[in-house]
Amino acid sequence: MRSSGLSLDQAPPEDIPFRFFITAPVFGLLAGSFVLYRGSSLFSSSWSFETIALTHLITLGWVIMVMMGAFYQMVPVLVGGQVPWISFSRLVHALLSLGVIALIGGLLQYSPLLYPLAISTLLLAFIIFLTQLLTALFSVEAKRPIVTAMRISLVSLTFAVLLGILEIGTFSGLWPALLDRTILKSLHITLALTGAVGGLIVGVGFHVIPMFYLSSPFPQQRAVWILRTGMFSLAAVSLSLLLSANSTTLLLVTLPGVLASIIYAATVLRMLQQRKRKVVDATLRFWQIGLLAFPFSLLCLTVSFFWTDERLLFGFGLLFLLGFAVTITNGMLYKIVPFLIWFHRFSSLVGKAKVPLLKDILPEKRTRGQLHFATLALFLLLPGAILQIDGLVRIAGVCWMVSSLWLGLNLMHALRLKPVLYEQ
Amino acid sequence: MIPDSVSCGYSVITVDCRDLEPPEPLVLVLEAIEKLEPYEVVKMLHRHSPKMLFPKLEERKMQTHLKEFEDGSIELWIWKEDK
Ligand code: HEM
Repeated sequence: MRSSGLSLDQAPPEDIPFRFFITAPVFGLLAGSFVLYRGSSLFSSSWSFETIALTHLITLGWVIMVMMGAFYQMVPVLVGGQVPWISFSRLVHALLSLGVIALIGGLLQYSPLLYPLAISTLLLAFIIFLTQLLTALFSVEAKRPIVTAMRISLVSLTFAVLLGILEIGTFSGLWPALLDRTILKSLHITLALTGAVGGLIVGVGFHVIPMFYLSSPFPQQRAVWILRTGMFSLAAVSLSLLLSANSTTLLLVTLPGVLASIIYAATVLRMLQQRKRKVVDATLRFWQIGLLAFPFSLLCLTVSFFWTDERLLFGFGLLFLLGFAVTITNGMLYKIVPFLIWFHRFSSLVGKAKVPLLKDILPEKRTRGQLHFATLALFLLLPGAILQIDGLVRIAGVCWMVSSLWLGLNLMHALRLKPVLYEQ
Repeated sequence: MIPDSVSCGYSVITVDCRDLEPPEPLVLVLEAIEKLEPYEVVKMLHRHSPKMLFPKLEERKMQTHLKEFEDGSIELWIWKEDK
């Protein structure tokens, strides 16, 4: 018997993913407080700077924050890519955190200096991050759908960030508008949400659903079809937006993507239904809610091409961001964080000392309560924002604050666990 | 776990992890390794390559041989380093 020269793909030091993961609930808390403070006025026009500020507390402060930590963790471990200059990831985290605060401050017009600060910090954060991850991902073979999905996600993110920075530069008077504001905004949203966020979550789902829930594997051919169709729609929608195509063209190029999202969600929901271990935990519920919200959000977007009503756009934004992206990343944190704690701190003790199980690291009773608040926030905010019921929106803000705080405390509880403490 | 015999004199300890969720596969394999005798070899069966296990096996100075199948499932042989 001979050793086959395995690639010893190393997970990054634990503090790298953890610093991103623990920062997300802080921005969640800020987003919830902002909703409590400003109420339904935040959902009256998608052009309002306060609304854009709220959007980026969620998208950059939460979704991209978790995604970055997950990319650093998953690329070496799941796809075998070596992330270069890994210690720079700590700088990326600091720059992103500062950049989001500066961006929000700039949008809320606290000081004219904040936009240039936001541009420089965010640009640097994304340049480092994207260089690291694109290098890692384009040096592995794209045999598996997860690799293709991650590539779609990163390439979309690159363009989305460039467009966002371009717009902020225009807002601050650093350079003139290079694109019509409506086109730029639609392109930015399409690439950032469906491309970067949708691409990553879909791809990760192919892999982690069978792994964590012991379901059957995601059918390979279907995964390839979903990615190709999604990629076609993404590229065709972007092009149509750039060329100011009419609503019918937009509908025609969007529909295949919507269909792909329905097939994806239906497949994963079925896989979860038929999983081998019939345990129902909070993470399963987070996935189920997220998977239902995903196709519905895209349907709202599609209808909005013909029926230009801001409420449809808010329906899309809320369902996609809170319903799908925040919900699924929240659930994934509950799977990944306890596993990493176990791996980094306890796995070396297996066979030598008593080691905790994952449910000892983060007990279900802690996560279930948070799930209820997260769900409540979503179900109150949707009607509150769309029907402009101020009281409902503010209560949703409170639920969102509680949910974020609770998530933060749960993660802290897990992060504080050390072998010495456990043995006592 | 089903121990069976192989021709070269090794005893094979089969650790079937195909129906286990993380981190149970790692726990079972690492526990088996702690008790491993020089004439024994662990055969791990899993749905996919256990990437997180390899650094732990290297930490314990184990020898490995990985067989990957079309459907992504694997067979990983683990034994003590030759002295
Ligand atoms: C460096 C990063 C980014 C910058 C500087 C930025 C900047 C901007 C700006 C200036 C707008 C307003 C566009 C307008 O109304 O003309 C905007 C809108 C938007 N951005 Fe970003 N963005 C960034 C990243 C992202 C990411 C990563 C996402 C999603 C994951 C995202 C999602 C959105 C959404 C959904 C809107 C629409 C908001 C609304 O209508 O209120 N952005 N972004």
